[in-house]
Amino acid sequence: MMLRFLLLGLAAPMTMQAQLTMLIVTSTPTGPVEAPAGSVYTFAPVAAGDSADARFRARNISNAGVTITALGPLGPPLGGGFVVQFVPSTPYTIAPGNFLDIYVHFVSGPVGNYTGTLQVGTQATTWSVSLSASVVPGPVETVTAPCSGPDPSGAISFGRVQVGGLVNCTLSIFNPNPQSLTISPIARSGAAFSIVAPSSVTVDPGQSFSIPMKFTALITGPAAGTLTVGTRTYTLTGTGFNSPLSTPILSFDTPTVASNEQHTLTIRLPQPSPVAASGLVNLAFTPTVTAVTNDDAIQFVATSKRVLSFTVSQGSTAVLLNNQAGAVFSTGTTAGRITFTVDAGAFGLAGDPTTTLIVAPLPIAIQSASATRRANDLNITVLGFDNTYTAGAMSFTFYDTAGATIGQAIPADFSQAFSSFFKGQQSGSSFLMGVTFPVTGNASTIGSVDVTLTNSAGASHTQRLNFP
Amino acid sequence: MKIPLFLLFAMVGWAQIERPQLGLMLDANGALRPVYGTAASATLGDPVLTGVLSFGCSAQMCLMKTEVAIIASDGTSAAAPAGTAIFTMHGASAYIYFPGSEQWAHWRDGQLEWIDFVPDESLSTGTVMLLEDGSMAATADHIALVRRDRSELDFAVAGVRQFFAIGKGYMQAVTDTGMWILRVEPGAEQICLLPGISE
Repeated sequence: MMLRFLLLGLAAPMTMQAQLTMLIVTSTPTGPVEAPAGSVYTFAPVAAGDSADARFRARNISNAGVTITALGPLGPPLGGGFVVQFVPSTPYTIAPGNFLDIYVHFVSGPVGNYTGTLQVGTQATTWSVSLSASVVPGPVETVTAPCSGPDPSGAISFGRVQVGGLVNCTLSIFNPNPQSLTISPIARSGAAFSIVAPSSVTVDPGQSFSIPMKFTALITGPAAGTLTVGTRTYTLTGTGFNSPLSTPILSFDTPTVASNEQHTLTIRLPQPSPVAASGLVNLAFTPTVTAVTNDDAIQFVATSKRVLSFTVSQGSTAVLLNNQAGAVFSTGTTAGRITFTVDAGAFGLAGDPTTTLIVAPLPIAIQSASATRRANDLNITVLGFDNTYTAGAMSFTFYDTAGATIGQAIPADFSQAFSSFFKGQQSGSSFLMGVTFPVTGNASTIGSVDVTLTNSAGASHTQRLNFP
Repeated sequence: MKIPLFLLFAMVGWAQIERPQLGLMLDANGALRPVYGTAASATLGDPVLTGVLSFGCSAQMCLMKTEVAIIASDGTSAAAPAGTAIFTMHGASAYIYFPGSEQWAHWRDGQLEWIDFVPDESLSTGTVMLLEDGSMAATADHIALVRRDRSELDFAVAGVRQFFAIGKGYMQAVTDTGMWILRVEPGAEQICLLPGISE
C-alpha cells in the first residue's frame, strides 16, 4: 500500500503541469468574467500620469495541486512599466479546482509605447504573455463645487439632494501639454446624470474645455453612473433623499462638561418625522493641546465606538440611539472639542444639527494619593490625570510627626519624565506617579507631606498624606 | 518636636510614571481584559484570558474560573466543578463557592482545599459582595453599598446579576445591558459605565 502512495506521488507532477490554464478576468456589472488569456495582452491607452491594471487568473483544472515556482515581471518599474501585484511568494501551490489571481499593474511614464512579459512558471512549464501599453498625453480634469472629486479612485460625487432636485457642476479639462489634445470619446451612463458635450473635443495647449454636468435625484437613495473622458472613466455618484427630517435637537444631561465624566446624549425632533428614518450619529474629538492627537477614551461607552445608529418612527419625535433612549459617552482626559453630527443619509435633514462641547483645560486632577515609608526611603504615589499634558512642576512640603513644617518646600521638576510618558499617548492623560525621596538621618521623624502639582492651567494640592 | 539637623534629603527624588491599571474586567464575550485609565474614562486592553465565567482579584492575586478549572494570576491552576464560581478574596488566598455543585473550597498556595460543609437546604445566592468595611448588594433597581457604620449609598443601576472584585478599590457590576465599574473607596465612591466590546 505504501508503495502505491509513493508511485502516485511521483506521478502527480507530470499530470498537473498540463492542467493549469491562464485566463484574463474582466469586471462586468454581473460580476467577473473569465476568458482565455492568449499570448498577447494590450492595455487600453493610458493617459500620462495614470495607471492601468489587468487581472490574470491561473486556474488549476486538474485533480492535483499545481505549484507555481516563479512569477514575473517583478521589481519596480523604471520610468514606467509593468509590475505584478498582490501575489504570494513562490513556490505557491494552487489546490485542485482553485485559482490564483495575478494582477499586472501598469504605471505610466513619458508618452510612448511600453512592452513587457508576464511569466508564470511551474516546475516543468512556463507560460508567457506579451504585455504592451501606450502612454498618451493626458489632460488635467477638475470639477467645480458643489461636486467633489475626482478622488484617487476616480469618483466624482454630486452629494445629496431632495428627490426631484438638481445638482449642477462643471468638469474642466485642461491641456498642460505642448501639443493639442484630442479627447475622445466623451460619454456618460446612468439615467440620473447628464452632460452637455460633443463626443469628441480638441483642446489647444494651455487651454481648457468645460463640460456642464447635472445630477437629477429621481429616486430616494444613491444613484451611480459613469463619465468617460478619453482614456479615463469616472464614477458618478449622487444621493436623493425624501422630505427631510426637521433639524434634530441634541441634548445632554448637563449644560457644561469637563474631563473624566460620563454624560448622556439624547436626540429629539422638533416636528414628527414624516417617515420611518434611520442614520448615524458621529462623535469626533479635536484636542486643544498639542501633545496628543487623540484620546481613545472619548467615545460612546457602551459600544466603544464613535458612531452609533439612530432610528425614528414615522410620526414620532423621539430618536432612539442604538435602540435606547440615550447614549452615554465619556469626555476622556484631554482638553478639546467633542463634536456630534447627525447623518440622516438618504432621509436628509432640514438643517445642520452639529453640536460641539468644550472640554476646558484643568489643573491636574488627583484621583488618589498615598505616602509610604520603606527603610529610609519615603514613597509618594499620586494617581490622576492632566488634560493639558503639561505636568512636571511640583513641590513637596514635609512635616514632622507633631505637624511642624520641616524646612522649606522642596521643588521638583519632572517635566521631562511626564513629557516622555505622554509622548504618543492615545488613551488619555491619566497617570500613576511614584516619587521616592531617599532620606539621610532618621526618616521615622517625618510624619506627613503635602504635594503640589502644577500644569499650565494651575496648581493642585493633595490632602495631607501621612506616612504610616 | 525638633528635627535633628542631620535629617537631610539626600536628593530631590525621582519619579516613575506609568499608565494606571484599575484592574481587570470580564467582557460580554467571556474575555478578561485589563482596564486602564480612570473609572469615567477607561480604556480596555487586549484579552489576557478567554473563556472566563467569573473571577475575583485582590491586591495580590486574581483567580479566574473557566468551565472546568480555577486559574490563578501566578500561573497555578486546579481542576474545579463545572460552571461559575463566587470568590471572596483574601490577599493571596480566597474562599470559593461553586453554586453548581454547592461546594466550598479554600484556595491557598495554588491549590483548592475542599471545605466539608453541607448546608441543610440548598443555598440561595443573591448578588452580594463583601468588602473590607462593608458589603454591596444588588436589588431589582439599584446597588446598595453599606458600610460597617451602617451608612448606605445607593447607585441607580438595575438588573445587576454579578459582582466581581476587579482590583484594589474597584468592583464590576454585570447587567444584561452593560458593564459598570464601581469605585468603592470611602469618600470617593463613583459608578461609571465600562467600555463595551462589540460582538
